[in-house]
Amino acid sequence: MSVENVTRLDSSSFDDFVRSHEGIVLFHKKLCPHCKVMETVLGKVAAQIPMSLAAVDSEEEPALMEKVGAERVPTLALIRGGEVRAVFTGIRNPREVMAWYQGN
Amino acid sequence: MKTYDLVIVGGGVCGMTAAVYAARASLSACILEKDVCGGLVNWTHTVENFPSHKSIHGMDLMSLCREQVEELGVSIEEVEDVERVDFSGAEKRLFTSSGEEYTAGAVIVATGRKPRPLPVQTSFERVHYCSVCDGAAYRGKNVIVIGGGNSGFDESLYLTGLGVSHVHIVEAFPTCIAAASTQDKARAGGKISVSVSTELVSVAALPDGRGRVLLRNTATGAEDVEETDGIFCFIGQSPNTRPFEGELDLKDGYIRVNADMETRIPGVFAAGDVIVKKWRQITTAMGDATIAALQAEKYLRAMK
Ligand SMILES: Cc1cc2nc3c(=O)[nH]c(=O)nc-3n(C[C@H](O)[C@H](O)[C@H](O)COP(=O)(O)OP(=O)(O)OC[C@H]3O[C@@H](n4cnc5c(N)ncnc54)[C@H](O)[C@@H]3O)c2cc1C
Repeated sequence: MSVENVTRLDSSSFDDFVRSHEGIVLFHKKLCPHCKVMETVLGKVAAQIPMSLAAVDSEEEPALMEKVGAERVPTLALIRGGEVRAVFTGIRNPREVMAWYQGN
Repeated sequence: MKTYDLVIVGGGVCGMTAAVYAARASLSACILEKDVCGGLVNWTHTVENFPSHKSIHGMDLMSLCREQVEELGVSIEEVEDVERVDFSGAEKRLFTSSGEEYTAGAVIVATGRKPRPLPVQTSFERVHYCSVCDGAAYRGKNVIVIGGGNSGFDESLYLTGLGVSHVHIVEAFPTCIAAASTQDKARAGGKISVSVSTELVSVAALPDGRGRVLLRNTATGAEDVEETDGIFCFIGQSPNTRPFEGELDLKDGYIRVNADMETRIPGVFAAGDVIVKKWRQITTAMGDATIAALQAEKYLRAMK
C-alpha cells in the first residue's frame, strides 16, 4: 500500500498484530483498482481517527483470507480487543468507514 | 475554501495530461478525483497501443503519470467527489463530498465514463464489474458474463486464465462486436461459450448463494434458465456528467465542446471520454487534454 505507516502482514505476523493493535487490516491485491481506492480511503480515515493500519497481499496469503472469511478484495478487517471484530468487502467512502469503525 | 488558477475535475489520463501542461505553464492547479488517479486505464490489464510502451499494465502506466504530475507540484485530492458546481461567476465554484469548496479561474472537466450497471434489479449479490478484483473467488466455478464487446471477451479470457471453469458470454445483439481475433481465441479454449440474440430477463438469489438466471432469445422468444455462481457485467459505459447537468450543454449526457475544448461557459473546458466525440482512446483523451490546458492557460492570461 502507498499509505504511510502501514504494516505489511503475513501468516507469521498476523496473529501478533491482531493481539497487540487496534485498527484496520486491508486485504488487497496487485493491480486491483478498488483496492487502490480503499488504500486512499483508509489513509483519510486514519488521519482523522488514530488507528493502526496494516495490509495483507491476498494472493501471497490465501490462508489469511480464509481465516477472516474473505473471498474477494478489497476486504477490511477491523481489529479490536485482540480479535477480528468485523469484516466487509467492497468500496466505502471515508465517512462510511469511520461509522463502521466506530460502530463495531 | 481552496483556490487555484485551474481545477481539473477527474484524474484519469486526460485530467493528468492537462495537469502536466498546466504545471509547466506555471499555473497553480489541482486535480479533484472521486476515486484514485488513473480512471478507466487502471482497469485495463494490458495497454498495447500507447506509443513508447509495447505492452504495459494500465495501472503501471497511470502510476507513472501520477508520479510525474505530483513531481510537477500539482495538488492531487483523491477520494474527493465533485458533487455540485456553480459556474455562474468569474470564479468557478466546486463543492465536494468532503464538504470542501474549491474555487478557480478556470476548470477542465475530465470526468470520463463509468461502467453501465446490470440492466435488471436483483437481490443476487454476486454481480461484479471488475474481474481483477473479484475473479479469483470463482476458481473452479461457472460464471455468466453479460456483454459480448471487447471488454466482455477480454475479461472472459482473463477469468478462464484465473481458473474459472466455464464462462457463458451473453450478448443481446445478433453478433458480438469484440475483435475477431479475441473471439477466436475465446472460442478455441473450450471454456467460453457465447449466446447471441439473448437478453437477461431476471436474476434470483438461491439459498445456497448461487443465482438463477432467466435468459430469453430475442429472435425466437424461447426462454432458458441457468444457475450460476456469479455474474460479471461489461455492457459499456455512460458519461459522468451528473454534477454538470443544467450548467453545461449536454448531448445524450456527453458534454458539447468546440474544437478548442471550450464549453458554452467561458473558462470551463471539457476533454477526454466525457465529451461528444467518436473515438475514445488514451491518446485521444491526451490530445483533448493538451488543447484544453493550453486554451485554459490562454483564457487565464487574458483575464489577468
Ligand atoms: C475495458 C476498457 C479497455 C480499454 N482499453 C484501452 C486501450 O487498450 N487503449 C486505449 O487507448 N484506450 C483504451 N480504453 C479507453 C480509455 O480507457 C479511455 O479512452 C480513457 O481512459 C479516457 O480517459 P479520461 O481521463 O477521459 O476518462 P477516465 O479514464 O474515465 O477518467 C475519468 C476520471 O474522472 C473521475 N471522476 C468522475 N466523476 C467525478 C467527479 N464527479 N468528481 C471527481 N472525479 C470524478 C473518475 O473517477 C475517473 O478517475 C479502454 C476502455 C475500457 C472501458
